[in-house]
Amino acid sequence: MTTSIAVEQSIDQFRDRFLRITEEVGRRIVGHEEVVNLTITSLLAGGHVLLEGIPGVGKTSLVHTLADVLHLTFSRIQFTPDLMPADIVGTNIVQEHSHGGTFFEFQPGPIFANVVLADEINRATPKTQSALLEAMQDVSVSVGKTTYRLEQPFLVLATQNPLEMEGTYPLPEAQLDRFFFKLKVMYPSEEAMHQIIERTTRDADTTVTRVVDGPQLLEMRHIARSVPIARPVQAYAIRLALGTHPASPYATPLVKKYVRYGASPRAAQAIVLAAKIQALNRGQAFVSIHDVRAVALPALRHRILLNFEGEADETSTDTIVEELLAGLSTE
Amino acid sequence: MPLAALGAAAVILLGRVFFARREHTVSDAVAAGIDETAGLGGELRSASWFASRDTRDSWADYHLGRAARRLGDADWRALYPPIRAPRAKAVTAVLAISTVALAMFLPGRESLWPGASAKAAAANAIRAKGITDADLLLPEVQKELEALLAAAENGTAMPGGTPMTATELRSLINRLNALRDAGRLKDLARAMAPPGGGSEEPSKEMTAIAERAQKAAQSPAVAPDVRDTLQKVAEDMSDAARASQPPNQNASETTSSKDGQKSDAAPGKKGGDVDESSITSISEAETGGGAGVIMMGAKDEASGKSSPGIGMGGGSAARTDGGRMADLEAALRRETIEANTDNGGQNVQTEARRKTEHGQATVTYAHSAAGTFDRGRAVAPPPVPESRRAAVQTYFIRPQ
Repeated sequence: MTTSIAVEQSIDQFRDRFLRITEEVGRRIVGHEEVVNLTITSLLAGGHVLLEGIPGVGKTSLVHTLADVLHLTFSRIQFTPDLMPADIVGTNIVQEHSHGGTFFEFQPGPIFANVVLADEINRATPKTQSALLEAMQDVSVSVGKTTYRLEQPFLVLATQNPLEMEGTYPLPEAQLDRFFFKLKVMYPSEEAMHQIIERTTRDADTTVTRVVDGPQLLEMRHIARSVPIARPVQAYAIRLALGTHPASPYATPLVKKYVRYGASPRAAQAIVLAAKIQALNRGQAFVSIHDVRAVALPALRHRILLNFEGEADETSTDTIVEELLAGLSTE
Repeated sequence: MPLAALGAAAVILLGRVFFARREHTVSDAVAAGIDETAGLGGELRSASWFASRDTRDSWADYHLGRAARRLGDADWRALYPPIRAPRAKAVTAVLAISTVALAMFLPGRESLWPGASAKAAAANAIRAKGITDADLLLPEVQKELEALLAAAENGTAMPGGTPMTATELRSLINRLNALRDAGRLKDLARAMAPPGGGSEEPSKEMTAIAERAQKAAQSPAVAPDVRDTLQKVAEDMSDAARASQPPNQNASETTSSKDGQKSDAAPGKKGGDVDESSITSISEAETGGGAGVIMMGAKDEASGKSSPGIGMGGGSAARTDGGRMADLEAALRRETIEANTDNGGQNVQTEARRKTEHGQATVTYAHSAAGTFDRGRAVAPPPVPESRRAAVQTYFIRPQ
């Protein structure tokens, strides 16, 4: 009985904090409820988010707001073609002792923050992009012979513009796979535009309060991982990931026609973990098929590599995942 | 009888109740279906899986407890309303009770047609005495068969001095077919044995009749249709005689054909009516091979005069116009001699293969000079369709 009460309290606490974060972000960000929800989900799962959208739809504002609300350290890196890895991770510089003599001292780069905004990540060279790989996967940075641990929670929120492709370097598959979600920030609706105009063209107070700090965020992560998932539901998540492979028996006609490589096992991990957070957010202590389906698209869309036919026909990976969701049996 | 039926029904009913009351294992598909009907949002499906686990943590226990509360709160009678069919149930009950009452209390019914009733009574009487239709046929069949055999042996082929039509013969054959059971044929043979001459072993009497019929069939004065009939009688009687022989006698006959290739196939039935006893395995002992040939006895092998044929079984010797054992033996001997004298080098194909395997082939691989590229001979790549041109150009600048 005591354990049941403790579990119930954990669920309520998680849900309450999640709601407070969402509401506080919503004070500044208008019309992107699903993006906000999934970004917080990714943050609580310990994953990184790739935000894609045209300029001016609020990608950078979202990341700024999230850092403010979460009481976390924030840094922004503007990716450009001449950006070097040392500009991200830091470098050893020569310092002079007060009593004479010199020594090397590590000067941390902007990656040493809780929330890192990698703005227009596809504008940097692959060499610089790969500087993020170790940080994103192992939450550490290696400079010379020394490896530095990054402070938890660590979240990379990268943005990229889908239109301007001139002078960009598409992210390699290994880098894409390390993003927990790829979220598309769409143009706001007419009603949302009204609210945006009213908030930004008046002298309105859009300051946000810090509702959750780092240790509380880590506690929420621990709670999220405690949610049990039944084997049939987990099997459905696995079938979803396997179904993106053309040779899989679960593959749909579109997958067989347009996909070169399907999602990696990280996709199934992301789906299950995100589904647990979605279940907690709904006040449930179990994961349902509905929770899995709700997070399948952002977890799979960037992990599917199209073949030439798919590229030539300008097929969207969203269409492929949606067909998979519609066709795959839940039993 | 009605009480036994009632008892059986009661046992079935008890079994049904026991089956319905025992604990069922709910499959995932069933749980998912109920979950969807009750609108439980996947909680029942998940809980049913955790309920089947032996070990559970506090979260799973909490999940199960909450699922149980939700299941208890669900209005299952509204979701799955009971089937109400009072009229159908009442009619079923009345009919069931009426059936039992009729079966228990009413006497056996009399037929409405007196003639049919008399026939049925006579048939019942015969059945009660253990007499069958075949028994009733015996005396007249005995007479006609005796007359047929006597006429054939006398060379008249006219039983009783009057011509026997094909219709009458077919009638006789049909009646004999009704007696193809070995026991019935034994009775027939006993009945046809001369007075005081009946032996203790019925198989001998049957064999005697079979021989009589066979001899009669070989008489030149016998008409073709009568000959066929007599041969059939002889075969049936011979089969019945073999079947009625003691088991040890059968075994001795079977083992007597061990030296199969030189002797003959076991006596069998006609090719179209083959049974297992007509299959004989003949091993080729002289050629040293362990392989055996399974051959079927031919149509005329009942007398044991013919030799086994070469065929793939099933009495195929006649169909394939195959040779006989002597031909097979000669062919095998010739092949064996040829194989022994076939030395390496004399066979052209063998020698050619050996040379190749030993690397003595004269054909060797030689590097050729690198070909010069002639632009004039280069084939132009297929033109890119206009609709795809933009996609091909931007292929390597793939959007994320």
